[in-house]
Amino acid sequence: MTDLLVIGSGGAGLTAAIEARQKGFSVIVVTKTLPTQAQTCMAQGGINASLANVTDDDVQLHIQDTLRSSAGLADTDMVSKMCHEASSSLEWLESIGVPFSRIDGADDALSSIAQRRLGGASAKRACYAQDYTGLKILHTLYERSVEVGVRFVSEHYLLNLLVDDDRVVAGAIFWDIQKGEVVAIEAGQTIIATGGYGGLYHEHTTNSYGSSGDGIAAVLRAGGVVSDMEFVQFHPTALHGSAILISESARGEGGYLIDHNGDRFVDELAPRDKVSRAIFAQMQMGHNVRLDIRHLGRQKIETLMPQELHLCRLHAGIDPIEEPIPIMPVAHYTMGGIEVDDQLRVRNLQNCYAIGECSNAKVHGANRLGGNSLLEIIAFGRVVSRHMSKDISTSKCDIEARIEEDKKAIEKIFAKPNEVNFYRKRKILGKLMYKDVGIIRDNAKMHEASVYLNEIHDKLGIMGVGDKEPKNNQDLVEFLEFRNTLVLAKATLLSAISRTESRGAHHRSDFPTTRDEWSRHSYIELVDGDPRARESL
Amino acid sequence: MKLIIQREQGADSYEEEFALSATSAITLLSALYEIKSKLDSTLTFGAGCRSGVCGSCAVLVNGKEQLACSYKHKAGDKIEPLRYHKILRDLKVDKSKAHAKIEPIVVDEHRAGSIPNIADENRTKKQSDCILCDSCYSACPVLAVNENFMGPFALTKAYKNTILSPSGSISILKNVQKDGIWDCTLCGECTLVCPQGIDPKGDIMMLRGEAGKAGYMDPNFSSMDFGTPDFGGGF
Repeated sequence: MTDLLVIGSGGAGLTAAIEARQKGFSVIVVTKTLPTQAQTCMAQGGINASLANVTDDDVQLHIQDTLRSSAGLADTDMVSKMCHEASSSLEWLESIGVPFSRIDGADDALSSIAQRRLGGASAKRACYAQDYTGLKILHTLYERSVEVGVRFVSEHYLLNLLVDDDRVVAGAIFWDIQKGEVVAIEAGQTIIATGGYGGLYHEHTTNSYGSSGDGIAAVLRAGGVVSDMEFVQFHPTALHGSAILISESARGEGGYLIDHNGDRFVDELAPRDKVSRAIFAQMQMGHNVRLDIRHLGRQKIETLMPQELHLCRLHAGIDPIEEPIPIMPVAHYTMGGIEVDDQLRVRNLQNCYAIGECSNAKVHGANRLGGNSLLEIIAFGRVVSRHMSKDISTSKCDIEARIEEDKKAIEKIFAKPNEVNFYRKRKILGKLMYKDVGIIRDNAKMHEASVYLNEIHDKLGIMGVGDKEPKNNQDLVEFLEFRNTLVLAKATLLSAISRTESRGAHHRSDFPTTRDEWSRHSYIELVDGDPRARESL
Repeated sequence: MKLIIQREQGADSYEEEFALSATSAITLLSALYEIKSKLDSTLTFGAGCRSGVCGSCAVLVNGKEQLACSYKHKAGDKIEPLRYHKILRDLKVDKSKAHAKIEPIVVDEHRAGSIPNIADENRTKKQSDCILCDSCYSACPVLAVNENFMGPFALTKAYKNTILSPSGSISILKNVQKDGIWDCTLCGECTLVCPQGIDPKGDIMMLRGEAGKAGYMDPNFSSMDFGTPDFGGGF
């Protein structure tokens, strides 16, 4: 039995683990891969803090920018809490050795961190480490975790939370991928930090393969609630086909978006959701959209965007110096997630918290401001550790019985006929969600999508794994991930259908305006294993 | 198009050829997924971000380390798991032993007193680009003869931490003496294969310099055979 179990080894999980460890807690961090392979490594832009190192700035401006971007759906107190934590969060990152980009001539270490302006910000507020901000934060957190004695359990896939009848959480049950066994890890308190659900837009997302919302689905199964699932941020420029992200800097430096005639059709520097919609509208008319940076010149492209140049040559087989880059907007960040209270406790469950992209802490609302995702994981990773106490109610969960249940469930999957290939269905699901529950939505298309989704769901009984070897079975893990994305796709669809307005990232062509009566959150719970909307908490 | 993959399934170890349509998969990683989803669901490999930053998918292609997501495969390429790691299944290896080698070089104190500037940023910029893909570790011939050798990435991190934490550098330098900086042959294989362009060989040389300043000596030096002294001249 450990004091604290952290599920997920991204920036949120590791921050909470380090801080709890330093309070004297025994801490286990469980990851389905290896500690440094979390999605956090992909964050490039930066982490917001109104340090005013480069331009004038103020925490109130940060709060205002965040609230404006959220389109009325963020919680003012939570946003204020996050923004006020920003400066001390950066101080902490600085103290553990994150190698930030710097400016010369500063008076102290914190003031020496370089800052840049990201979209929607009224100041140069994002602290960065070249184009590897997330990578460098994550690896520094990992080194620090090793140093303070956090115990890592790698290659363990979350099956279910251990909950008793009063919904007191006592840890979780995992599939030990290497050994091919069901194991329980008991804990006084559990933090879910498993990342977002962008993976349901398979092949239409910048996210890594593992973004299947495992923790969110587990909370639903344990009797928790998820909220605002319809809010998914789409990044305007990913490579057409491979969905590899082409950084915003390409437009920031003066790149043009052009239609099939080679004409510009949108202000390239407008907010992400607006640009994404303009591109998607072109695509709906059957036109390809390309990003043209040729006029910037070879020298500028080679110096400022070496990574982009490499990615275009590799994944699209084109040279952006010579020809425009074929692009499409793809799912990038999921605002919705596990419903938590103002102390980040999972609603309906006890001794259980959720932080980072998997949780809906109401700091992003209907649209996330660039640079706030890295801030959220560090700030709330630290905040949650302050709420930890060893004085907790004990769970009466019959752990042995729960292990048996999950063992049986896995055996059942192995025994199933593998008549329908889930890898094919995963592709179909991704495309369906992208086309019909993506950037521009309407009632008719979403109801059609709902029929297809149910069809896929109905085939689960004859969908299994071809690989029957228990040890190191990638097929099984990817099947379990697919099942989670299927549940979350339904939750996303249900919320998107019921929200009859347009707000932030949720845009409906049949309800194109924002409506006051919808200035509220949407909630989903599981009823008999199926996602259902509920009016209020 | 044919790909040859080294399979490790239980006690069986064999080469297997897979035929792929020439156009469908763009990168080696997408080719592996094509095989897995259409031809053989037991094929096992690492995969993550698809864009070269998570470090999950390094493999050997024709004997050289490559990130599968960043490599364009050609007909006849031979794909194998990384060297000097325990093979778990097919191309999937156990990285825990290699990653544990960073334990002696992590420090708890950073930058006592000094105010960093752009020059300081540049001193650790490259080293901190490491994605822990283990390519350098797989390419290092020292590990073929000494499995306890710390290996290139741990020593690059060690160097980075001596810069970031002058006060912690004393313990780091102490901890890289055994099976560390002096065991490297400076062959530079690590530098050649790093997908991030990091130069562990250079970092190890820098660490040797720092160690020398701190009073450490190359233990191989005293036992070296310099041959018969030649003072020139002669007849």
